[in-house]
Amino acid sequence: MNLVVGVADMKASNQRNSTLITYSLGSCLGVCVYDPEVKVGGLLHLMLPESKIDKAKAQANPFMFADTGIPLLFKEVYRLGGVKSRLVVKLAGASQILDSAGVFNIGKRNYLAARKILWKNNVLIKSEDVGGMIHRTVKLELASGRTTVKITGGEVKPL
Amino acid sequence: MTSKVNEIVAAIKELPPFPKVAQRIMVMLDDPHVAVSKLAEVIQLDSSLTANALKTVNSALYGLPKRVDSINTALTLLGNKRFKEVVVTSFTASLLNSAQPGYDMSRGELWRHSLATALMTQVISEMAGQESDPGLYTAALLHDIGKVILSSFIGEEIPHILDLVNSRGRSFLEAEREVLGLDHARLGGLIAKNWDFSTQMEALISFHHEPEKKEDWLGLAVLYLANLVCGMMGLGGGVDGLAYRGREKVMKFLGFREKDLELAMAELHVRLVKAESILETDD
Repeated sequence: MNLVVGVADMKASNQRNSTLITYSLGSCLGVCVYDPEVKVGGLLHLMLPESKIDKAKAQANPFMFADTGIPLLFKEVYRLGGVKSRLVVKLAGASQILDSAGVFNIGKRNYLAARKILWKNNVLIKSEDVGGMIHRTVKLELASGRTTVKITGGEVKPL
Repeated sequence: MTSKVNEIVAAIKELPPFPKVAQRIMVMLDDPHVAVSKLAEVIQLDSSLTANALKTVNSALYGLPKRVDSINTALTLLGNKRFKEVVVTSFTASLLNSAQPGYDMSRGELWRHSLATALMTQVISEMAGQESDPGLYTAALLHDIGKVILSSFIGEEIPHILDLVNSRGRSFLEAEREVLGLDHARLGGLIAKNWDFSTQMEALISFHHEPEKKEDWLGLAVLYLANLVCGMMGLGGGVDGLAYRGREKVMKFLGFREKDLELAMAELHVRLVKAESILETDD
């Protein structure tokens, strides 16, 4: 069963027949978390780096921001039986537009914000597919832990 | 003109004409002397338009206190300006909802991108202290209409176009122009002309990636930025991805910083959730 994660959204599951999927990550960042032992996984599609720019919106939807969404993603995976030391964490997205002046940096800032939060919490990133000027779709199959990324107009490859 | 360009331009004729009733209503909405009851009468001549308009009005986006089931009530509650948005939104869904395989966009994606861009022009206008403009909203809904035609021509050229983007630093638009002789924005302008839209509408569509090419460019700047930010948010993303030029000059002109873009994204997300029922179209 496909569990679709929208923009500024998160889903986690311990159902082995489930596939978590999020479409069309541009400057947004997808954060995949998976515990291979108990086959629990979660996927967050965050939009912006820091909740301080709009606290009311962060309260209404914490998944919009890296600093409020990532802790909730981990919490939900722990609740479903995931254990921190076993978690495999992968990142995808954070694209940039064609911008020599560096005015439109939201993709890069999303990525840096996520890395900082993970690093502070001693979480290693297993793999990542970030940057470029492309849209990505990410899938995480809970039975196998297989994670893939598809570039719009391109091939599916393992993440 | 090369034969390829001729072939593309000739394909404009195969697009369904912009509905006559739609054009008539657009003119009526601009005329302050037209009675509201007369307007409602004309809309009701077209049953699918009436149904679509009621669906749009009743989406959470318009925040009406209770369900509206007549065009007259909708018009009275919303006023002419917002009602015009409803009418235009109701028309464009069916023009834009189909898949665009040349751009690797599945069914509904171009429509989602178009509505998101239109709503984003309102968010940005509000933040920049500009009054909302139904003409800009309409242009934003139709800004990518050129893709509907170009989708049939671009497929086999995609590797060539992407090569120009990835190894020569071209934007997707520039690469389209280089390979096909015409880009989706200018083609959209030609379609607008063919539909007898105003020259202003034609300019907004033609230059939505290159706003600084026009002198009077406030509306264009807003549309350009709205479109760019929706692309960044992944709304209706195709094979062109984010390969469009970021223009610092537009940000300065509107007095925007990156933080403002973030606020605009957050606000658009909230509005899009409310507009979800409009996006579920079965046309």
